[in-house]
Amino acid sequence: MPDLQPVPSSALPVADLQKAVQDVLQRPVKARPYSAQIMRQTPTAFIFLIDQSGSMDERTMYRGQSLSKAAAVAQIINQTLLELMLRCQKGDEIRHYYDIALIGYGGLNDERANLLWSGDMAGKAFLSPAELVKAAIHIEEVTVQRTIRGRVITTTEKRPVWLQAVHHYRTPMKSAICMAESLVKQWLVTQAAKDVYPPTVINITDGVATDATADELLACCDRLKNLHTVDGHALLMNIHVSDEQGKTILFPSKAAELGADQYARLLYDMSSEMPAPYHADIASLFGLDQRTTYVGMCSNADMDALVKFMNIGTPTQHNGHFIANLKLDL
Amino acid sequence: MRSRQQSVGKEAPAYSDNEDASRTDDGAGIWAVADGAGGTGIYAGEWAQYLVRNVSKEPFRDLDQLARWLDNHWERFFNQYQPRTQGDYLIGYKFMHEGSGATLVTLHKQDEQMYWSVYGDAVALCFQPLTGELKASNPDPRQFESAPYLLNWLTPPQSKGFRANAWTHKPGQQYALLSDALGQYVLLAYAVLQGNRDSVRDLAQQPTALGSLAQGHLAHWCEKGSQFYELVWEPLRTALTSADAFKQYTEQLQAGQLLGADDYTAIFIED
Repeated sequence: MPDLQPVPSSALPVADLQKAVQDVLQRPVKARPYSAQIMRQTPTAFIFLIDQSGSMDERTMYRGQSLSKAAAVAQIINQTLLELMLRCQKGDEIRHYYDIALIGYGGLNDERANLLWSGDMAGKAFLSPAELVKAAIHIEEVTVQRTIRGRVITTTEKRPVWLQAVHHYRTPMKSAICMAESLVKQWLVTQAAKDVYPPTVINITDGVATDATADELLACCDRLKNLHTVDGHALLMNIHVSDEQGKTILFPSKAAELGADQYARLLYDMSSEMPAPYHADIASLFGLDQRTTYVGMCSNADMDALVKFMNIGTPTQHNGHFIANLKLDL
Repeated sequence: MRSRQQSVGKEAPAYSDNEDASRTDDGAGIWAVADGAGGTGIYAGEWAQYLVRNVSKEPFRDLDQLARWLDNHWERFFNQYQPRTQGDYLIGYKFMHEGSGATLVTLHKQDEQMYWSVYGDAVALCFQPLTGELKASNPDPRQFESAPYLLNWLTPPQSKGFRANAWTHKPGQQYALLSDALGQYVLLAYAVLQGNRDSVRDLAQQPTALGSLAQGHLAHWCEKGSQFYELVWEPLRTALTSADAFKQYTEQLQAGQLLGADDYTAIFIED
């Protein structure tokens, strides 16, 4: 199977795309990377890779409930997408601060990853936040009672669902990474070498790739991480959700922390070093020592750790430093 | 006293949005700038306008006064805007969970006292051209490293976000109320030009946009001597004569990597 997969929304023939990507990559990364502001004229991109293989039907605990890993991950992704959309809601307008892609692997078949948007947005790679609103599979309604400054208010809240729990087949992770690489390349070309915050790719899995050797997977990840804007290299963060065995490892600073766990070592090698502007938040959110290096990986993490990890990887209100750095019109 | 003010949005001219609000009431001696925070909450621009419009005649001298004022005013804003959220579940969710946030800086003249208050990282300044001394409500530029405290109808104000005091007015003394990015600019420039460079050097070590700005200020002002009035204060005052001049002024500072991208609002007050 070729490494670079065709993505339906690509407007350019492969040769032209490669030429355009080379042009973009000729502009070097600036001296202080990861400092570009996210604005409508300079958006960024998030790509979520979701393992939907058969083993994701194993049980886990999330918010006091026993449910499948696939169901827990779906809830967390849905909440993260909602948070991203909320960051873009300004007045009556949903601003285009992000392009967002959702890729599943396993789930639909054994061999290749798939774009997961459905409905009117089926087949599209990146959605703008305004398109994301239209891409919800359904909307859940919840009655909520809140007390604001002593006044009790009952409202019906609607919560969109974009990702449902799916767990079938094997784990074609390399296919997903390669698809992310293709999407990042296309996205870089659309940004025309502007000083934009580089794309963030977050991979959530509970298993081992079934479509590649470790070396093949690493080569694919390295290609992805070598893509860059003027503001920095694309970030690849990997999280291995817990099978309740083994030691939990969060944002390690060196490979020696991983012991003899070969799978953790592979995730470590696959992942990006986190940029310095993230360090204070990582240390405070996870209760870690201040270090000079944190690698964007998490092994044997429970669902609470996954939620915190997503907060580091995406700019939600819980991540004050990142918000300040990204400066979403504050 | 008389004032001049200007405001320009960060994405002008491509987009005309601007969530800052200001009030200049020279007759009553009340001036205010609110910086609506779009990063969290919703209706930030409307909230900023509501805040400056309703600033009371009496200055906020302590947190209790500010909290009581907010207690008396939050519900009218809530009642006005909550019904508007009903047609859009996203807006409704954001309104109820995050409220509306803004920083607020006020200045009240009462007799010969200039009472200032700040909630968040907007800045009130007092400059005496005769001595070259600049006083600031919150002078340390390191404050801009973290997200600001925001005045929000949803929650009571916190003591850490609030400062208030007074300056005694002297002939020729001038004042400015600035939204955060312009405040950063003036404080960084003053620190470097006056030779108080340690805090700026600390900031310049940080791998952030603010760190880059601090580095830019160190490089730009280092050889300029103590010409704060000529190089910083008077150009700011002059830029407030027209919208075009203010826009050009902020664009030049941005191009020189001395001013972060933001909405910019300034009020200048003098005899």
